[in-house]
Amino acid sequence: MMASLDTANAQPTDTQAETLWKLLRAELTSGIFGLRLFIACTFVSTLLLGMVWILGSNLTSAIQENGRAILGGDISLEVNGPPLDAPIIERLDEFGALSTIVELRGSAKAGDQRAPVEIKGVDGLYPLYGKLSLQPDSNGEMPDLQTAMAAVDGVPGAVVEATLLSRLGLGLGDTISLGQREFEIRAVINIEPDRLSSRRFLVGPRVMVELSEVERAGLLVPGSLSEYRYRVAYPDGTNEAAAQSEIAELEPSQGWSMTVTEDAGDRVLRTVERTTTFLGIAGIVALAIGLTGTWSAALVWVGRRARTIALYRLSGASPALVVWLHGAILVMTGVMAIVAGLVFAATIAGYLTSIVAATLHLNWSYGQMTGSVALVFITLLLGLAGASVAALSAAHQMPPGVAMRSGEAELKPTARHIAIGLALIAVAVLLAVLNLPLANLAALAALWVLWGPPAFWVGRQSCCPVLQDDKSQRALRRRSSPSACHPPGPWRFAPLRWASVLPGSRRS
Amino acid sequence: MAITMDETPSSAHVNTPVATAFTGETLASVSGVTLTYPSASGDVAVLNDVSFDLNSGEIVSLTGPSGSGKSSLIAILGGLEPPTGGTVRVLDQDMTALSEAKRTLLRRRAIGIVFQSYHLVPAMTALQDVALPLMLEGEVDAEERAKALLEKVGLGHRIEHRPTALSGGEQQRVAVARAFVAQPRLVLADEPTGNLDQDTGTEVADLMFELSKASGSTMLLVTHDRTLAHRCDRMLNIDRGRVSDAG
Repeated sequence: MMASLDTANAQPTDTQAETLWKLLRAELTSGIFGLRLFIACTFVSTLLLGMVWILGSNLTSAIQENGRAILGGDISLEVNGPPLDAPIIERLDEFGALSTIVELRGSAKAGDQRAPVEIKGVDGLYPLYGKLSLQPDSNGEMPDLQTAMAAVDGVPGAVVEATLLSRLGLGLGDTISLGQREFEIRAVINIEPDRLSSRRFLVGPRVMVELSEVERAGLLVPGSLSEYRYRVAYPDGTNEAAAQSEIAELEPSQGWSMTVTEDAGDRVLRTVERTTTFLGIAGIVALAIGLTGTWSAALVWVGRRARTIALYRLSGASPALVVWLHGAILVMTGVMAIVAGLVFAATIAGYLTSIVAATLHLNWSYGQMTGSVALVFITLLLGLAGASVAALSAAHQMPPGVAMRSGEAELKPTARHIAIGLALIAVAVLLAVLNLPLANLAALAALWVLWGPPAFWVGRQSCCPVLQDDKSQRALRRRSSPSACHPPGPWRFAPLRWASVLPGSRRS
Repeated sequence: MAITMDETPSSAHVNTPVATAFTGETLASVSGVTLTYPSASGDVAVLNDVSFDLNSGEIVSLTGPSGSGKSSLIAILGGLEPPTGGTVRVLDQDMTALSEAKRTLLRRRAIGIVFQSYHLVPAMTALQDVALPLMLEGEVDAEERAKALLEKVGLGHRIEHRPTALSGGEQQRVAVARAFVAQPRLVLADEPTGNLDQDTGTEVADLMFELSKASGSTMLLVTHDRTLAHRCDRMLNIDRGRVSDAG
């Protein structure tokens, strides 16, 4: 008679949260030194991709969200040379609030010193959108633009960029000559909201005065290189497309250039998009390489924990519990690395954005990064999941008998799990590609990056039959080792060999 | 006595201590087992038509020269490795036919294993290591029972120490406690005193005999030590993959 055991319908029930938490706590308390390489690879992937992605997103959104302020209205009509005829101006005035400005290049004179300046004459409605920011005066009060430009004792005021003061050695209250008229410097410009709408190349600091004073200074004589801009702010509820069509029909014989908010800052936007895309491609390469490292590091870690895994199995742990436990450790450390990478990336990108935004006179706040930070987090989480699948599959397949053997355990992730891991990484890369401004260009580069290694492998394999003939084999023997065509061991172990020599890859 | 393997964790299906030794029941049966490994120079036969029974409550020694297949036999009995041929039945279960899930449950509830090199989980304290099989079973008093057993094996003062802080003898006592904590029906010991000095080895062996007798577990003890082998109820010898009764 044999002692018996009833195994009908028996299933291990060891994956309860409490059991898992106890084991996880024990593992984490003893340290995660074996995961340093894994953490480093994930951190670097996040940092590089995050920096590029967040910076590009910051600049693009800053320009797009400042569209009306950059344009100075809902629609802008630009005319070179003489201003528009009065009937057209009267007609434009019917579409909403109309603001007129003129820009021209001139020379500011102070005593015997001269400096080229960009003169901007503005009317009383300027700016229709956005806010011109002036430096506080000595009392700490923010001056008002119209007050600063108004004539006091017959002397009109001017607000200027700080560069002009340093260039001519002037201060507030000093006077400069523009054409035939003198202006008292009343304030210093901090942010000019529509600066990016200037189509000309700015050679000097900005000097802003009242529109009528530009004419009085004799600067708008026939033949002068002046640009008039007529900006309209539609009232609420206006059908913008219809209004735009009606305005287009008013075009004078001399022609004009019409710009709407969607096109505002388009040159800068194009530059930002191109720069972001090219940097983004570098970020995607970093992501792919980083995740390859993460993949290898996770496999190395599981390989080095083979005996521990086998001990869990010997003690009665199910393969599912082993996967949950190791998955939880990888997720916790991986998320930690991603968060650390994101903090660094967001700090650097935020700092760079604030510099660029100040240079381009854009309003921008750190809160605007939230969306792009979340997207990078999701992308990296997908990549992390993909890079961990093979290692977890190997842990699942680890036989308990490994505890009785010496030497390195063979890792056997299933082909299906490898495919799932690669697919998740591909989705992460795709997400990164699609979020770049010029997705087509980025996709091409990403394809090259992702297809490169497999193509190299396929090429290497396909060259082997050619080398089967005697002549080729003799040549191969002369030039290299016999194993040149066939790498030793299964391909999945190749990353393990290089990963095992990297710092931080010690037995856990 | 039957052990149930339902899904509900409770102490009911874990063996209750059996005070007496032999019950006359066959606990494990090895029949015509062969094990071969492929190698470049042809298949290597490790076990060759091995057959024997282990009865409930008996302590059996297995001796033999190095490389004779002792550890392989332990691995096959523990369901850690499948044989190339033959059948292995433990508690009336065909180990080769069981699913991985059922083999896992069988190991958790009915089999304890002790190794020569201790093999403790590096991240765990002595208490956690010993409590592991009970914890996996969902026993609410896992740590209390583990602590009681650690005190019984003389390690009450070392329960919070990790393996690196324990001596070889202490580690092996923790390993023995882990193997016995769930009161398994079968304990497989692969040269448990092989890495210990004479005195410590004797202490550990005494402990294993005591725990085995107290719980009524069947123990298969692989050893090179003839004196230790002679203390067992029965002796088996293995040579060139064949097992013979040695007394």
